[in-house]
Amino acid sequence: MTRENEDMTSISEQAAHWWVVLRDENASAADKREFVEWVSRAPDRVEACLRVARVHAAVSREDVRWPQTSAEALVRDALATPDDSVVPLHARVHRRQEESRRRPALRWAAGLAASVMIAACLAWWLTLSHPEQFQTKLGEQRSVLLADGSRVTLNTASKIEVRLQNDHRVVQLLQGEALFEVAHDPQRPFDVRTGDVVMRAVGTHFDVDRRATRTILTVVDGRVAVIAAGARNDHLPVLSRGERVVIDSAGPGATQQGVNLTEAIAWTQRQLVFQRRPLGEVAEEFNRYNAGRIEIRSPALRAQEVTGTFRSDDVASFVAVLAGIPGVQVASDGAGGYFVTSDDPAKPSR
Amino acid sequence: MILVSTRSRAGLAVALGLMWVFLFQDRVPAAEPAAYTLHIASQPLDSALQEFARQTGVQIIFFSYLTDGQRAPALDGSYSADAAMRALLADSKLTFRRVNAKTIEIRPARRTDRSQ
Repeated sequence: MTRENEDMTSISEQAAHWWVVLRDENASAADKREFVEWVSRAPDRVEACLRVARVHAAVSREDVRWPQTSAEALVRDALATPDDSVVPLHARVHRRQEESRRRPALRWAAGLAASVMIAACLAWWLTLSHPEQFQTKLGEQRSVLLADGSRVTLNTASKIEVRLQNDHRVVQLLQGEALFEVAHDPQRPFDVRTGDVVMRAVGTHFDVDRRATRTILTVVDGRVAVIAAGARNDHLPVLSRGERVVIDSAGPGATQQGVNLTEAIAWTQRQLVFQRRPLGEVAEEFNRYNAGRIEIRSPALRAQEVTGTFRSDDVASFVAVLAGIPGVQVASDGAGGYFVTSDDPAKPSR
Repeated sequence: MILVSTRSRAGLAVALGLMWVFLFQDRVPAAEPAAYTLHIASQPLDSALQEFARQTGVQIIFFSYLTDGQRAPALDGSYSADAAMRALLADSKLTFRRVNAKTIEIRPARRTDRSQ
């Protein structure tokens, strides 16, 4: 390795170091001053900072799918991304001093380059404080690999906001459902927040389903502690494998044990697996994934418990089953969905 | 392109014809795999049926009360979907209905009328 290459490596490493330091909300004023001093010493440093920012932007792009997108492809993309702000910085500001003393025009150019550099730094600095967001549309699912090695799988119509800091990892589940596979790191607790409910995991695998008025936590492996639950923080449960808790405005309910985990995470296979679930709830599950909604208008039919396994996008087959129940009529709602009515209170016949 | 030669038009017609055939074929229920290799332990009937769905990819649904207190025998080997259903339901008073090529509904065997 040549001397020059070594220097470049160390500058990249330092830029990456600053990226991490400054992304921390607790970065001190001294850190920031030190950074500005470091970065303004040579244009290579600004360039290195921008490279880190670009790689980061490429990695956190919406359409990046892990693990299908290789690291090489991301780096290639990042380098191929035209970034106008970088161009003026290729001008060598650090010309030999005698030369610039001799030629005032050059000194002026150096000054201009320096201001462009500082503007670029500011732009970079502004992007630091923004957490990353990932989301899915109706019927869409995706897996995101976070920088700490944790994987988050988003279910239909879901949205998360991720902040990875030196001493703390926080994911806000803003909407919908997500399955978390947390990379073990006891120094950095991993918290999932839904409103004022906070769940803490260290190296574990769990599902959080945020509904309109409640949050459902299901632990697939390891342990997860509920560390805040809105107004009621007196009896906060710690859950192990196969346990589930429903947290609503009244606080956490009783911990359920022996939850069917295959059923709980069947959604990652685009399956709905239901065991003794009221038909109305099953219809609602289909409605989470599909634009054509099913509305069962008979309360008695809605309450009927069913068991089964369906693809979450096969509404047509589910509706065909409903239409085959004696006394049940299915009509189009005119918008791709269905109204389901029943002429007698659909009493089960033995 | 405005100029289209007769030959390429003929080609287009053939292509459209072929496309139609493919589209039409798609509408015909795909022939089901003749047999599934199944390993289902003897267990309560409802979970055995769910296991059947998991192993075959066939969709299944029933009113939960139908399987109350019923067990299914073990299945181990190669079965068509219909043969597997008959075997699983052998000890019960239930039968099944094919809703479509990929969906099965479990029903009471004695055709209960709806006048109750």
